[in-house]
Amino acid sequence: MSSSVPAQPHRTVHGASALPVPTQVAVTGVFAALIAVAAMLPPIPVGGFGVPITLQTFAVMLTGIVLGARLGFLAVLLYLVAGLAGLPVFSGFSGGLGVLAGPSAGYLLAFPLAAALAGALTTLVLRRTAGRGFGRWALVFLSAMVASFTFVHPMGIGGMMIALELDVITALGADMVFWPGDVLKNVLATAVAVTLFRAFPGLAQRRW
Amino acid sequence: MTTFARLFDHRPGSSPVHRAPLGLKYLVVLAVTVLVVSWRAPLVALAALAVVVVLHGAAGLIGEFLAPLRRLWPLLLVVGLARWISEVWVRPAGQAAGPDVGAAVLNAGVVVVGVYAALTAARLLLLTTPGPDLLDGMERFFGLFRPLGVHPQAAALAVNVMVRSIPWVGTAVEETSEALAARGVRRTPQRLMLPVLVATVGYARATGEALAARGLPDEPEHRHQEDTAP
Repeated sequence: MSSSVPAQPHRTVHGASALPVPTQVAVTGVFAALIAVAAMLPPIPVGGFGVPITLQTFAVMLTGIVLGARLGFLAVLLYLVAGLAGLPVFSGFSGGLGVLAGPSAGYLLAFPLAAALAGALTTLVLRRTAGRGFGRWALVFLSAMVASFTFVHPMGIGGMMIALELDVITALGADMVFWPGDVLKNVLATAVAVTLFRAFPGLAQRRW
Repeated sequence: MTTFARLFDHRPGSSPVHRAPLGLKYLVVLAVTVLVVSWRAPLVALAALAVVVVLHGAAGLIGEFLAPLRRLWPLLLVVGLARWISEVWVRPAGQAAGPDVGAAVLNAGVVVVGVYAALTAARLLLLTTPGPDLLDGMERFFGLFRPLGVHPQAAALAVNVMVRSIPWVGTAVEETSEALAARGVRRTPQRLMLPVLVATVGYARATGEALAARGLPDEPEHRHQEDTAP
């Protein structure tokens, strides 16, 4: 079977990734599905305190870290577009343009940008720190935190201020509730990404 | 599995709402959403809600209008409380007069009613549109972005992969969860997600190979030649 397609050159888009186009499409779709499932799962207790966390932002950040800026952005954008089109893939099995009037609008719109930034920073870290140990993964964790606080939280706060007509202090207070969970999720995403990069070294071979 | 299989919650029917063009349905949902966010008035929120109720009635799905409340009431409660706190405790800090509690409750109600109208309008679109129509609509939507370098067939294919993969990933999560329970190990996010992610990346690779074997997606060059052929 494989002999029928001998040495087929990898089809790439703009040469931006080493992955062939069909694999890019598959990876984008499957990771969008992963985010959808993570958003639908009930919260899971974590750590000694047993504080339940939802896995949606974990999946978004992990997608950026693992797939890089370009494919990570596209996978999260696909999830967002499918949800806005009406598929009930947002948390609480909701979906459709109506969520733009709700409290999570800013967070959802921030997700593709956050994944792109986490992916771009992770690519830089992977490139510059090859062969180093723990410090490298601390930098990947930091990449995810930078992405969270550049896009997710400011846009989440902005979304609540517009959609719910909140003042900035109340919106900030509502957003800060998510900060501890966010740190945990980024630690978790980094830990899972470490293992994935070991199991699939090809994932780290990307232009962005 | 059962949870993730019911992605398209289509209720077949032949009402005017069912038969309306998909673009029109999206315009109505968008109009309701934009209206309730941009124009905060009790009459506007109630009018938007009334329109959505009438559309549910016209679709023969009036029973579905209140169904999301079972799931959404905590969210709506939090939304209303946040709005109320914003008005009563934070905003009047610099004002001489005390907070008008009645007006604060009314304004919180306007926001809650608006959010519910927008969410149920969006849900009605899902209920009255067959899944394949929804996917076709998305492909046409992607076509609008062809000048920006979007490859509509590849994007539509990615949507199909996503829709088909959701039950697969959901099953992987459930199986891992059951395996942890069988070993008597406490379910933590890392113990749950690591095996799921390894399986998911492998599944994505296999899916990519399956697409390549079918010659999918069509190469942009070929499509371009077909488009420009007389």
